[in-house]
Amino acid sequence: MKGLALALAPLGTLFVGVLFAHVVDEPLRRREPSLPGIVASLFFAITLLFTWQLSTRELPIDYQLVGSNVELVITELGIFVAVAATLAGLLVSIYTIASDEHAGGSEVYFPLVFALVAGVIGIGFANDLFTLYVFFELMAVATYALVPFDVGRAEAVEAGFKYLVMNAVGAVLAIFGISLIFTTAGGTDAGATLALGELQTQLAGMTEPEIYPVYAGLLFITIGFGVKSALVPLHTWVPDAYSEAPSGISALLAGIATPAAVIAMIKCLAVFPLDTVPVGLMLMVFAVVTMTVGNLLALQQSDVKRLLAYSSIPHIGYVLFGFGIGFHYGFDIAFDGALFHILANVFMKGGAFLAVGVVLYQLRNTELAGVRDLESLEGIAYRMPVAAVTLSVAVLALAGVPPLAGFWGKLFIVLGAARVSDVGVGALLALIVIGNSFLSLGYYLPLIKHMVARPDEGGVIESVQRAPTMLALPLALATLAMILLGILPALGLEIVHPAVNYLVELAGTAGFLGVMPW
Amino acid sequence: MVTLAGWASLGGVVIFAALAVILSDMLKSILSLTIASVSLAAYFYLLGAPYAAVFEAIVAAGLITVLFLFMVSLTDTSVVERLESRKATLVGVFALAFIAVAGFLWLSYFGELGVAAQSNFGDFGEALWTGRSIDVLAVTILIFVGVIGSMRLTTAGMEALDEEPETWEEPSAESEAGGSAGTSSDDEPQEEVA
Repeated sequence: MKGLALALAPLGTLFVGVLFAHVVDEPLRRREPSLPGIVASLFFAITLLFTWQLSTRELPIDYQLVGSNVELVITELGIFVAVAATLAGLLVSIYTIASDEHAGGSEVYFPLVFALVAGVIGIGFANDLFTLYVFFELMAVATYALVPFDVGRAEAVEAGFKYLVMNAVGAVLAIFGISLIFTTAGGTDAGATLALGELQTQLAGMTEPEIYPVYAGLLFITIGFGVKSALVPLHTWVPDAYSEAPSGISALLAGIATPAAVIAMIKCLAVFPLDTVPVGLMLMVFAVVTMTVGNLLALQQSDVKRLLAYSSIPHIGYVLFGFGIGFHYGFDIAFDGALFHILANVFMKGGAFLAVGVVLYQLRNTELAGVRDLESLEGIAYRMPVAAVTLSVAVLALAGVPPLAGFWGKLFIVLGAARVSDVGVGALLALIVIGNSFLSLGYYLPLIKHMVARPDEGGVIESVQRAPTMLALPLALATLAMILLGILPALGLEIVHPAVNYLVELAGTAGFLGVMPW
Repeated sequence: MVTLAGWASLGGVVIFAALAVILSDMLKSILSLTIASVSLAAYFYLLGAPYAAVFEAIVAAGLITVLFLFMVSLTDTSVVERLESRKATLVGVFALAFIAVAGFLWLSYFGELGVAAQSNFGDFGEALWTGRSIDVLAVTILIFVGVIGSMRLTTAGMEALDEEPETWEEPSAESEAGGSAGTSSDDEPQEEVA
């Protein structure tokens, strides 16, 4: 082993967690059914502690498990991804202490959750396109089993099937794109590498005829990772997978797994010579289509989980828009916006799906078991105030209402757009984000309206039990985080801004900053 | 110049790829494809492309096998029942094979077997262990996750699915005017609005 061994600690903890949770689940459950959830929370807390320890060291940290090649590089971006992923994992594992969504399969549920989060952290730490792909697959494979986790329901299996087919095809396209880049950059030569920095240098020196395969690689990588990122028109798995997966898993998918696919895509795209390959422009086009179509589709939903699922699509659009502006025009504030929105998304989407999960959990033994349409949930705020407050704060934050977490990410992206020297283009770009945010109020506000409407007298909602404290705890934590990040954005910027500096440095070495050829 | 080992691995690719297509038993077909991928990885390596060999072994023999297992376990419960019944054997064989290959490569790379200097096994070992040891670690976890995930998508839950799909009771259907035609549990519980 070479380098600081602490670098492997966050991943190592989760890898141990995968095996440990599988082996000790049964004895733990026999002693106390909530113990697997508590142990999972402890593992995530330890991972967070190691990540925090890493963040206090001088970055980047190179680490080799065996031999001399650099295999993991802990950068500020890696720390950001690890913190976001671990917080999402922690939130969901606290939720599972009292919920029963893993019942009948917790010896599989927790290992898969650990693997999902480890995959995301690996994406952040990977310094090589192939390592990044392997960790991307680790995350994806875990979700292939988690989406149809409730295997007794035909809808869950159908959603899992659709998710698996689409994402497996996407993964194959991504590895094909990576192979094309590898080959073009001298894959058969001695010393050929897929390391980000070196690959970037090799590609930067290429001229017209020999760079054509790089364009093909760009296309395959964008489409390949774009499927998991839910780019429109590759998004069709999202409503089924998010709505049929257990709520905790929906929270992980929307909160961190899908944004992690965007990060994977961005890390791959950053190796392209940005002064000849229009990466930023391509991202902006995809982003505008994704946010607009996603919002229009969400407007038509009446099922609360499908509504939240569809509403996840425009948020990927906002994030991509920020990255697009950052890559195209070189404005680091747009990168700030994209990464801040990813961090806020952990609590906004995570909190929203967990709140819905708590409502559905409390309704599971009533006539409304499994019912998720908005009208049937009218008046739920009177019986489950914590869940209703969390859901309300989450959707307001998602809409970008100040002073909540979702406001700042969007503001930074808009400010990035407004900096474009051509005032007309800048105003148009800013208006696209602002307009889409207003559009989203069209489906978020009715959701709140239904929750606070008077419940039917003598109806099921009136008699439903309040959520137990342990179920309310993760909701309260998510709400607190959304408010804190809104009032004190500096808390988030403390890990976001160093990550942005790394991204600017990475993209800057490709020679695009200040060039603005388009 | 293709050596005897090269012809053998190429033959392995052709034979097991053909078997993967011909066999009607899904599990045997998947395993044949995996062996074909491993043979192809060996062929790549013998042709002097150790990195391509490592990628082929990790992606095709590792990831793709897991994906096929998932797909089959979502569609054909009998395969998974058989997997379940032979779990101990499968895990044992897998673990022994992994330890044997890993041990050989490790020793060949570090020279304890004395083959690193004279043979290309050193290159493969180097490519695998010095270049991609984190990937090997991640893929090991990934395959474990794939196997336990495939097991989950089966047995009790899938048996219930085979008998009678359990869907949500929809009290709202009672209040919906047009709901009478769609009251069976097989019906889609959600309308596809988009």
